[in-house]
Amino acid sequence: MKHSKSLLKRINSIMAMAMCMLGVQPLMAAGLLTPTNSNLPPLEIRDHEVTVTIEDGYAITRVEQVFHNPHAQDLEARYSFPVPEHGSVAEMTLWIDGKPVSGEVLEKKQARQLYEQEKQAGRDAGLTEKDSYKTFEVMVSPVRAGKDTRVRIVYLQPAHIDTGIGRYVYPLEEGGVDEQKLAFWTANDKVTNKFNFNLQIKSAYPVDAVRVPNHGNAAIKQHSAGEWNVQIGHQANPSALSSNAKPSTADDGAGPAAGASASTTNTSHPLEGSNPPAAVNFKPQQGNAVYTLDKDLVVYWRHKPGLPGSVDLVTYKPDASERGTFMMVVTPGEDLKPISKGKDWVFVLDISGSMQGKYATLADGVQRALKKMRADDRFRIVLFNNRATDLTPAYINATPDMIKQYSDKLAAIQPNSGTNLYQGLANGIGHIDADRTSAIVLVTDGVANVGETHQRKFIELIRHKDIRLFTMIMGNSSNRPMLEAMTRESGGFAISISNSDDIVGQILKASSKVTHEALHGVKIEIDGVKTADITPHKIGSLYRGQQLVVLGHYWGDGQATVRINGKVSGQTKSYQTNFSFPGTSSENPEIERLWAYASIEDMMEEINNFGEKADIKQAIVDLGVEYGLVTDYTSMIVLRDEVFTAHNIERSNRKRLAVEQAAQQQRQARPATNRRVDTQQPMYSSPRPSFGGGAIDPWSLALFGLLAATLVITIRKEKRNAA
Amino acid sequence: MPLEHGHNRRHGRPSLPWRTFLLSLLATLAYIGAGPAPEAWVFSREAINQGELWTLISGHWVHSDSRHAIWNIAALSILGSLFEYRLKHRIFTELLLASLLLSVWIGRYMPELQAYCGLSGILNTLLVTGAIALWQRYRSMSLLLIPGLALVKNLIELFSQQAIFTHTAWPSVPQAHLVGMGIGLLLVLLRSGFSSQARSVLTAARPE
Repeated sequence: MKHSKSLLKRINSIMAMAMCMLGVQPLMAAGLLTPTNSNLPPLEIRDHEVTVTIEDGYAITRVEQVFHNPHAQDLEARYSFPVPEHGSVAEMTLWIDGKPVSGEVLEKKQARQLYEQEKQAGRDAGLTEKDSYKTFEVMVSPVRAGKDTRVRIVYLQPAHIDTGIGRYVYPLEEGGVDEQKLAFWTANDKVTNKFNFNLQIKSAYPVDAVRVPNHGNAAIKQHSAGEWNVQIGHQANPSALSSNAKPSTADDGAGPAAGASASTTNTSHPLEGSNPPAAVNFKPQQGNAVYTLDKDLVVYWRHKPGLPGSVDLVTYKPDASERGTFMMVVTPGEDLKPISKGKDWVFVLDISGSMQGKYATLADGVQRALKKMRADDRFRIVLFNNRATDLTPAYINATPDMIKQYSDKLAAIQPNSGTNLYQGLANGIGHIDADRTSAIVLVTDGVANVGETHQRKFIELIRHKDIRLFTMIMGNSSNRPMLEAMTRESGGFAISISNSDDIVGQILKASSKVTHEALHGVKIEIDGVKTADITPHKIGSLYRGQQLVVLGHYWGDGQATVRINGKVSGQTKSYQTNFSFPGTSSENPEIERLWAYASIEDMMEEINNFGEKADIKQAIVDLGVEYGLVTDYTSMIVLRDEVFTAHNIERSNRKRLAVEQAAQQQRQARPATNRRVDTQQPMYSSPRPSFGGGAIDPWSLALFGLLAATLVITIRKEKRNAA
Repeated sequence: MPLEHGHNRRHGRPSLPWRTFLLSLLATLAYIGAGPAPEAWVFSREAINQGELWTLISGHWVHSDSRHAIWNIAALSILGSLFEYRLKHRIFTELLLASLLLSVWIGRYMPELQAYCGLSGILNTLLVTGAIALWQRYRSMSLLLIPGLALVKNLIELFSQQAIFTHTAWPSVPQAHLVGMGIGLLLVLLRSGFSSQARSVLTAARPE
């Protein structure tokens, strides 16, 4: 108890060290791909406009682009961007003969064949494929000689709050871990005419701050207590707006247009008065580019402190007699106590080739972290590239001599070669002392590509010992599904890190998790209303500040009892509330797709663990086609209307989009809706976690100095008067 | 500050602000000895509920990290040295009362704060009581300018919430700074109330 909070500083340092390895130098970014060794001339990204709406626990991201072909021959455009965290493409719309045509999802092979067929025939077609956990590839053919082609991609993803802070990432940086791809393709990541990023937050809970680190020119506006808007814009020539920025309209299948909300009357944030109303930067960035798609855009929003622990329910059930879909978000109150025991820390650090360029920062971070450790804490360092090596021969006490010795050793290492993650982890786990509390901090920006690479083997390795794994997933190209699966298996937590993140803030969040108890083996029970297909299948652990998000189906309506059970330090803990499931609701049709994709992720985990099975693969294809989702086994294809008809392809995604767009327009027209359902019988008695410190800053100190100077002058004046 | 105390010589020697030195030394030793955010001393609802009532006061004298400790203790040294000549032993009682009242405020009106530590809230109390005490002595409005500027800064911080993440281990709580100033004003009012009451009692007791 006495020493528990002093752990905070040490663990802060440990997490700081881990996160100091974030500086992934992007070898490639989102952009138009051209084969490296071909004579094909590159196309241009003329416009790139992003509209994001975050509401009711999920984000809808619309990316509308204009590709320009300045050459004399028709060409194919191939745009690649990193897979967003738990995000799936749900719409691809291509403008054909000036009219928008939305895509349909087919089995991957079939979609590819059709696309190639149309491409060979010289007819307009588009295709969006998923390349595993790495990228989405958008192909459009042809982009006519001297002409523009407009294409829109929309994807959905959950938007969670962690320790009162929401985080949205528009992923653009490519992690540079796919060597084959890097060797074959060259990416053009320059936007030549217009770049616009418009994000709208609509929250029924008050949001008291929004921040965009690394983008100082972002215009941030507050509309109401929970509604904010972020805008970043770059434009080559303002007059070009009229010719290229064709606004989306309801009948062309578009959602609310970017900037629509900004046109309403807003109250500017006091300290943001210096920003222009619309942050449009007319200075071209590099050469003829107005913007380069090489850095992630990260947006944070912070809920007002003191909000109660809560249960929120979002449903979609258009027909009372049919099956409905629900998304339940549980935000726990603060009831996890700080941990007081000392620990052994095993750092398993990736020193493969992709870590080059940031290794000096890593060594510096380790040095500073070790200096802050107490002598009774112990550490080991395991490094891995093609093979794993122990930098430390045994557990080391953090004495000044030892710190200097290992800091110097770490600084002398040159990152290179592949990534033998399995051996690195095996070495780390092999050293665990069963008599002491231990944790492994794994930091990696890559993909296991040397030695054992099967996910199942990693899971078995983690199961072998009772140890928590805390994983820092760096960049957009890590094998996130595998890292998350094994971290969940250990009962630890994984944090995704972008180079554009506020590292101090991420450290704060991570350290508050490892310094507090966690609710392990979490299970949810719903009685009173029939439910099924609940995802995630295995919830795992809930750490301080984390939300629990559960999606599923329900039948009927009425009062339900919801219980969350788990164990804290071996003691059973149970939380309960009662609330009503509605008979009908039509405001959030998108949660059907969110449920489908979460279920697909569960199934993909099984495939990654135990290998591909025909029935699971077919289930993924069926869900992908039914819910219009691009997955590892399904792709979205856009064809001319008559070609869709000729191939008897049902336009189910078009129908789904129409329902979603109608709901989005309805939501756009009204303020954020409170989705809290446990007001009558709160599940948690305490508010959500928060903590604070009274901090005097240099400005205050300068004020006090000014006070001293004033006093000197006053006393001298009095003396003179007295004389 | 040495100058203010130089102004107040006792038996021909300058009077040192020993009370401030003592308080600063205590805060420094607390950080060196107990480390950052010591569990037994920080203001914590859980601890208070379990009867550890001393954290109502001790929480304000411990810090979350070295940066937090350095800035706050430096500010205590400056403000204490400036005001000790006027406040004398009241520097102890006012800081003690401020610690208690601020904790009560946090406990009652800031339920989201599970834990709190740091001197800055009660330093804002000291700034108000000290500056007003100096103003009462020298009657120079410029002495009230600094608490006025500090008030503006605190208000901007409170309404802007500009920094989502501060650079100290625990995020700053601008509301505590403002409440600290409010407590300072309350203490001044109580003091002047008592003084005028005492004067009227003395006047009434004086024989005609």
